[in-house]
Amino acid sequence: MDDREKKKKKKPPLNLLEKGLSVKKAAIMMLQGHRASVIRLHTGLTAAQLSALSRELAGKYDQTVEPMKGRLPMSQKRFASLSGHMNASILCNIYLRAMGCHSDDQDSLKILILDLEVLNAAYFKARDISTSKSDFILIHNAYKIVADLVEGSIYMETCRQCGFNFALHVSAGPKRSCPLCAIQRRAGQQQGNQPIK
Amino acid sequence: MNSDKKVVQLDFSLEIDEMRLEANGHHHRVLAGDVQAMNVSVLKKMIRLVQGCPDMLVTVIPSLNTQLHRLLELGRCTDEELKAIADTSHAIVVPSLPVSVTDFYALIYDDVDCLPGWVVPIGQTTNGREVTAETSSSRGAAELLRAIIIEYWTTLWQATKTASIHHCATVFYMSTEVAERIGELTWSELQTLIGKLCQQRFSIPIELEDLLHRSECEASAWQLAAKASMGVQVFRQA
Repeated sequence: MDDREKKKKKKPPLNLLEKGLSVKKAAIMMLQGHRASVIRLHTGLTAAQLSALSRELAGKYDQTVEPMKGRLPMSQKRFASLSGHMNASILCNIYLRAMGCHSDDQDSLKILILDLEVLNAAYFKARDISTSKSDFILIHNAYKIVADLVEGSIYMETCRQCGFNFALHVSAGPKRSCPLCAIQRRAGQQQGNQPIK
Repeated sequence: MNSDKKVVQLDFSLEIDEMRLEANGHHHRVLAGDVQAMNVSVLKKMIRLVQGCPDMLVTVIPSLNTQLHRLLELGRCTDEELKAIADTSHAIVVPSLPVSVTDFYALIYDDVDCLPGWVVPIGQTTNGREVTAETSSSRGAAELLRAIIIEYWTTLWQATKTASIHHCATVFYMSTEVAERIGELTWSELQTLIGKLCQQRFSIPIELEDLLHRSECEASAWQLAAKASMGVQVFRQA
């Protein structure tokens, strides 16, 4: 095998269509606010390619679109406040419904996968119905929450009192209070604990 | 709203020549045009009416102020005419709906303490609803408030069919807060009003007792959000 043949073998044939789709997907994810590591994972683009893409997008949309770098935030932080807990639960519920899973169906949960398109759709739907837009979770938080749900660090519980399917993080330990009931109690609404379904 | 405060009403259904100022005890009536779509001649006649009656003054809310300044910039309104409205104001002008939640809230919440009267759009509004209001007595103020709340809820409903439960939280809070501060509508009146609206709008009835305070309004809104996330139909189909 001569040198020319070796060179030819090193470079795999460039699949333009596939690359084009990846770039398009990366651009959408970048504009949605996904982390650089998540974009790379789902598109296969390199850091240099992402950097070039963000510069191009910045020129087109006249705003900074450089994706955040570093590790994804810990999802359990979202469970610290009641509204954060509610938002996370709402997101998980919508994601599970979109995936055709029911949170009380543990078999369905076991085969749960992280579908990026479903996550995006669920995220925007959850943001739509959230009552506290100001502290609604960001897309990279949403990604981490769903990733943890798929991985099993987050699991769903059904409140015996109100029937709400709420998310719980394994790090919470035995603390398993329903955020919706807690909000109702805080407001002094005992009648608010009527079953949801 | 005290009885000695004036009720000012804008009536779009009448010709501008029919505008008249009625001095009837403490109550005055001014008929004019849509604030947002107000043309120059209507505006100028309104200014003349205001100038002709020094005890009947008009407060200019920001959106109208912007409109006036735009007219000023276009040379369609003189500085003096603008000043006549801006400097000598007492009544509140409610722009034709829909307005943003924030605008509406700020309008009612911020100015309600010094609110001598209301100027509300009467007649065909932007979303095609007919709004009528009784203006001949202090009871008129309550009627006007009812008209505003109904109109606002209708507008909100049209938005929330496809938009956000966040708006519901805001309007729950707003409605109760307005009633508390105005003190003109009794609780039973307001509860009947909002109760009917809730029944019409939501597939899940909202208990009016749940909406008396901010935290309760938020809790009700959260409950709606929780139900919506689990696929429970919360809004009635139009």
